[in-house]
Amino acid sequence: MPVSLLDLPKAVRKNIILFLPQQELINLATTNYELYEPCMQQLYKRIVVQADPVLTNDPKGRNNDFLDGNLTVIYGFRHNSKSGKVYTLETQLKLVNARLAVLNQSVSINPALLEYIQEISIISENGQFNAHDDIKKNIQALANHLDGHSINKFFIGDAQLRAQIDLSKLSLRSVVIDSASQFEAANLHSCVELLVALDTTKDFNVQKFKSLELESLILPDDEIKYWEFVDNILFANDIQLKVSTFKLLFSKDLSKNTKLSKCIYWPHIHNLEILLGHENEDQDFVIDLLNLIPLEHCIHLQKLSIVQLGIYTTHKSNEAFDINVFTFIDNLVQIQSQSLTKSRLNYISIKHNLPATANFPDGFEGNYLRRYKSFGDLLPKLLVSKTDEEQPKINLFLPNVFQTLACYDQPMNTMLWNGCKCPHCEDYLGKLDDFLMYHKYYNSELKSYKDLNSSLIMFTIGEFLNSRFNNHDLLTGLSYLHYPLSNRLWNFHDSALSIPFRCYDVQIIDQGEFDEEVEEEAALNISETLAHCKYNAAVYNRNIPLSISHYLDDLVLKLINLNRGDAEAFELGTDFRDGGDSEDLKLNINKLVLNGISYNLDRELNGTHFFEDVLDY
Amino acid sequence: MSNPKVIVISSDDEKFPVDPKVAEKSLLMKNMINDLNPDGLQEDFEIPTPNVRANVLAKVLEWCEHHKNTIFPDDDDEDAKKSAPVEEWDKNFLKVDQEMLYEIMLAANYLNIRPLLDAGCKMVAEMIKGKSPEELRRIFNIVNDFSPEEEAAIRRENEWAEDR
Repeated sequence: MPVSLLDLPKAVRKNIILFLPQQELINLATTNYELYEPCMQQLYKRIVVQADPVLTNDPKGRNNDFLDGNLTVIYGFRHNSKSGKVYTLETQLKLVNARLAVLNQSVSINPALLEYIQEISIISENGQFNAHDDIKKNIQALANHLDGHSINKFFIGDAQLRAQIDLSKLSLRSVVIDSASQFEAANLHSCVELLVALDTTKDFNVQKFKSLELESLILPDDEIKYWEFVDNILFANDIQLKVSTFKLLFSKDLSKNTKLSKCIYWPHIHNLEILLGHENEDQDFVIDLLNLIPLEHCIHLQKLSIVQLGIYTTHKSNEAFDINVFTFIDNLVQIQSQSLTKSRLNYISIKHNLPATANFPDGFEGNYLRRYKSFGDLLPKLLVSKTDEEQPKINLFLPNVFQTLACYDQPMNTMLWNGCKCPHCEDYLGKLDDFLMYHKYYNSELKSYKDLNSSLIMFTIGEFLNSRFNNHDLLTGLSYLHYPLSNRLWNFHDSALSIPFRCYDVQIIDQGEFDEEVEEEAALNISETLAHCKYNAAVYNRNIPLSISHYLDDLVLKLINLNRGDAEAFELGTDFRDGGDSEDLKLNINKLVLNGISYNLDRELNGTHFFEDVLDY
Repeated sequence: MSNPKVIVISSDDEKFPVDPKVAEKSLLMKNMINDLNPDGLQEDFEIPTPNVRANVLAKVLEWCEHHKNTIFPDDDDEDAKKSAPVEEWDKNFLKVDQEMLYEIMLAANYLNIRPLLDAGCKMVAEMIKGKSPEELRRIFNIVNDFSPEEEAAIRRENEWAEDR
């Protein structure tokens, strides 16, 4: 009878260790030598380096996942919610550098640790690391330590930083290509994933490309660069793609899209990102594009990310886009449910492209309820097979859905002034209301500051919540589960627009609606006003996101069919049993991430659905 | 005639007749059923499990019955596996003493029922979280075979990954 953890077979112990976060790995490693090695294997396996701390599960949570053990993160300090202590970027970078130095020291003293490293990702926002020489030296030192080793990935997101770090001696499975000459020189013997960041395909070695046995091909988000590669490399050389992961960016030219669709061997596709919808594109064209994907051949498609390329300037076209996307997903789910293969869609991400003003020219109002219902009511029903067959649970990501809803002015007013009445929201929504009274936004058309409105403030908060994701275009919307969500701070002044909000000493209600004209360049400098403003990153830290999560809770309640408190609007007991599965609707979502707010869903023992916001508590 | 059953026999010779669909949650049993019955199951089929006691086997088969229609994430999709919390039903099912939990995990490992093994491992991982090395040794009966110097060296080696 096993009585100690050490009595379990090595394979079982290793499986337990798979689910442990980094601090627990260190603690367990120090208990006994038998546990030291497997803990080290896990700790060093996948490392990500970033300045921001990650968000972690509520230790008292009842429905926590194990994603905090997915990667070992080198970050700065954790911000402290209770004391309101937050750390500046400068401090975070110092600690990142110190941690990297210790890591380098450890692997040089104990080179056996290098054998455990399979993946390194350097996630640097806005050139943070690029401007820090010591961090750059330490990253290069780490790459040098790995010389001669075969590892899966050494991903550097920042192109400028990437250009300064020499990875040429590493044998990588995933390779980023920035230039034809780098491609020519690169050791690609182990390469199965190519992330293309080429400016031009001139002098690109097509024969070398054709010789690769790629599993994954990710081309740039930039449409011109994307299609230059497709035209000059794929089309010009009649290359058929037999990859399992692909990014498909639809152009305005239907014939070219058709040709590209025919280049792809669809039964091999497991992971697909689709970028479509140019600015104000006809929605019938969007349907034509989606019809180019032969769903009957997508028998192994498991992960799907859909990204709206251009901004639609009316609520109507935005709503139509969603309906078209939902119809596409519905068709896919139904076709797969009739397929003999066991592969089923289990990951969906839908990302919109929205105007930074949070304002559509056809007015703020739009049809908020229809939009709300399309996500809360329609989408969950689509994710269920209409046959009796069971389906895997789905991880659903709507990276900027709160920003989408923020584009409807009236509901945002209601949320701000008549929303959640819990003590926390009374306090922090009150603070936001107060903030609104003392700040204006820069209207670039009028070249002057204008009264801030609740839509824009909520949209901006949504922008920062969205940046909790690692949103790098080369990593696509297919990697949201892989990287941890980060605790990104907002200083209350950086805006979704390019110019920050400006502080005032007098309430804006006591001023004219517009200020005098200010040139953009002058408007960019807010350091003086920031120094005097009582609103800052410490006020924001986990407090404002918690209030946003309380607003989004209502959407989740709707989505999981918990209609309590709204009984008159629904005929309970006829269409649905409140809170549980009905005959035609079975809760089929494992994780739901709405604009950086992460929910885990499950059923109580009595069948009632429940959910938990695992990161904001 | 009723549909043929799979009779799973415990180490202490207790017999558990179950539907093939239930037994097939175990990859070991699924392979045995398919390999030894290439034309499909025509009659009851006995599978001995010499490593699993009856009270443990009963629990394991209860789990298989409950999850006979569940589709779990692919084994090689580590991200998806880690994104799934332990289901409330599983959590309740695995609320047993540590020895029984270990035995269920050992049985799941032997019978190759990966999602049950994962659920057990996640339960243990939850128990490990937030504990100091000393607490871990006490709770999990782990004998410390490190000198204080070695322990300090491990701390130093991995200081780069410590939560701050």
